[in-house]
Amino acid sequence: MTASVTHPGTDTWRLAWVGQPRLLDGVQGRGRVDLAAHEARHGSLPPHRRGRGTPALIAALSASGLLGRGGAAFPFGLKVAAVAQRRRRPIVVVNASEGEPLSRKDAALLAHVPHVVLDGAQACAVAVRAREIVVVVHRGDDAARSSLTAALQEREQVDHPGVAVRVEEVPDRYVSGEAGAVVRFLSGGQALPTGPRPRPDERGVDGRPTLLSNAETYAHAGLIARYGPEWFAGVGAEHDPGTRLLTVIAPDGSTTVVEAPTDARAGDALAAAGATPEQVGAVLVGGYAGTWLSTETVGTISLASPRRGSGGAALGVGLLACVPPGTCVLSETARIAHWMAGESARQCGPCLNGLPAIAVGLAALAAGRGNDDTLADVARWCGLVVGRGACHHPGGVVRTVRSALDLTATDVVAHAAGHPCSAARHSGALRVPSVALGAAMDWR
Amino acid sequence: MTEPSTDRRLVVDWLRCKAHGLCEELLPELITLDDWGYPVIAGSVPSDLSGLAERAVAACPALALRLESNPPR
Amino acid sequence: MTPATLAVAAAGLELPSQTLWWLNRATGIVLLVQLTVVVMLGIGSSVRALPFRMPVFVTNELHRKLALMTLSLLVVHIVTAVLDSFVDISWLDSVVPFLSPYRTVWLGLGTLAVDLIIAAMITTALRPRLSERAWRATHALTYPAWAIAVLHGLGTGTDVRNAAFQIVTLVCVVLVVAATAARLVVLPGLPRPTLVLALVGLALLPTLATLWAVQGPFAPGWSKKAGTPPAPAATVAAQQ
Repeated sequence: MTASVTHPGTDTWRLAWVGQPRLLDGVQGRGRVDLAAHEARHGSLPPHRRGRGTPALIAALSASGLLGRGGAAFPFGLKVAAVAQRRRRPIVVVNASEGEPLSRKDAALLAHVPHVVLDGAQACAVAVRAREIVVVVHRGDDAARSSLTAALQEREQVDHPGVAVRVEEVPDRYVSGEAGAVVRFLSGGQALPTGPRPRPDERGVDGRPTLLSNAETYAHAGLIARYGPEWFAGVGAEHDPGTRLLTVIAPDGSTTVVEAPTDARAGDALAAAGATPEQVGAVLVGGYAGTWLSTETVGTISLASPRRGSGGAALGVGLLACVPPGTCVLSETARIAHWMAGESARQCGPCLNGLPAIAVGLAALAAGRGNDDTLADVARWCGLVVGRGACHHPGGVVRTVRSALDLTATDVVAHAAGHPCSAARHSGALRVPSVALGAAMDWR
Repeated sequence: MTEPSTDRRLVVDWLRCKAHGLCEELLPELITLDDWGYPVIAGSVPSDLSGLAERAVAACPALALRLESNPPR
Repeated sequence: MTPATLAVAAAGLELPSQTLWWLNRATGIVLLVQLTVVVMLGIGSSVRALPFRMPVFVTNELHRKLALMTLSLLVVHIVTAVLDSFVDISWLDSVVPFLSPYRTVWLGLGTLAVDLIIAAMITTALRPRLSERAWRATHALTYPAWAIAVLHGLGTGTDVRNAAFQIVTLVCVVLVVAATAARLVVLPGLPRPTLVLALVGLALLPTLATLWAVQGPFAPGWSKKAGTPPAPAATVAAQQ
């Protein structure tokens, strides 16, 4: 079932859903769901209960089986429980920075149903005894920020005594949305990854235990707080229940944010966005740090996060970016790798050196200027940058690169023999921002 | 060539490593340098190299190397 | 001079002033060379593109070990100066600069250099507990510490008009200036104008120092100008 709501402005997207919408419930015919409409739909705001109901919510979150929607798919109940156990007063951080350039799901959430996100953040804040909520957006995300600010004003006007909320903006950089980078930024430092330790739930913002999760995760938590874990797990896959938001980039470049149950197929989401299989050549699943899949494969993959050890294509932040048939996946990936190399935090040697090398090698291959050595070099460099750095940025790029090489295996042989891709001459199908490698960056 | 291996391994703090290369000079059996001079660690520390591993940790001018217990399987 | 003899001296018994003075001068000159080598090795450790092929491990370890040796030699240099009854230098003057009546400024510079060097060593020992920035900032003070030590040698050095000493000093200065310039050139992220400014300063400072030295310590009458208290100056003048 689809319904289209067009978000006005320079950054446009449509909304659609498969089955019954939950997060997006209420946008039909309205666009933005303000506080009045939100309360009409879900009931009046739950009274702010300080201290009471805390174990009940944490138990509900754990029982629901909700997994984080920011890409790591970590059990949210576990995370909340861990933060609640700390002695120091924690802080709640809602990560809507959405560093993935093509993703719009978090922006759409905040622009259309901000109160669902705020409900979740407030409920979790009570559960972990936090007195502060910070919502993080990236600079330039005007739609999300203005809607969020309006929503906070709406709540203030009805005098709802919730935990104090403030909005912060991180630089619009790919790695600045990483958990460690957000924590460092909010603590007064630069928005650069800090490495795996200390974990935010141990020592986060200003050294305090920090509950940091994706905005969509909080949105689901808010609904679980109202309707309970059984309701939540009533739809979707068993190991990853509920619904999830996806950003579908259709072959014509248009963006649709789709809500679908996790046991639906990617093909259903593509259809909801109006993309038919004949129109699609290949799909990049997950994000720039993702996996290229052929049309045939992608149609059948489940929208649930792959089980541990199953090796399935990770859905990441829920991006499904289609390119039309005849697109040279290799040269698209070369452009992505080039941009991702430019987005490196440049803190670690392997990433700083390896990503540009991979990007250049890939570009040479796509243009037919490479040979077997180029291919071998790219493969070796891929192996050298995975797991050797403070964050997963290079690992993500390598996943995309390797999947591109797999998908285009026969073509790559031709490229290595010196034949350029006929499609490589076309301008890029995917919208990749252009950044000069080595340009000065602003991390504050 | 099967020395009993200790339950420790060398871990690089990538935010500190500046590719000085002292570690590789001291411990070429366990550490090789990649294309750009950064260390690639191969496996756990065997018991006969334990002392050298500690020395490599102390020698790193950037304090980028440390010894950690292997995570339990 | 065995440690036992020094211990005897420290116990307050008289030692020939000449011996102490000679020891102080000898350690001073050796320290000049040693400090220069330590700084060179330090620069060699931080720059990966070295003109001479030395194992990286050697450069770094030598830097640390030699720096520790320098500390020991410094102790002898300071103790002999304090124990020498010929000049009025107290124990306090070894850590607090510009208090001694003997060539106040020039001796004080020596004390200042020692303070900076000790700060660098303490922060290195405590490095795991410090931020990278704090350690780097303190360690960078060893550059001016070296320069201050050279000026101290020129200002207080008894052998300053000896040609051999002057040549040794010149060689040391040239080496450190060249190595520092190389270090600045390969420093990543340094804006062009800053680099040019730093190199100009690096060329200017020793030039100015040389001009000063030629009409200062190298010229007659320096002893009085440097602030040597009257009695020792008269005796020294009588000895020359």
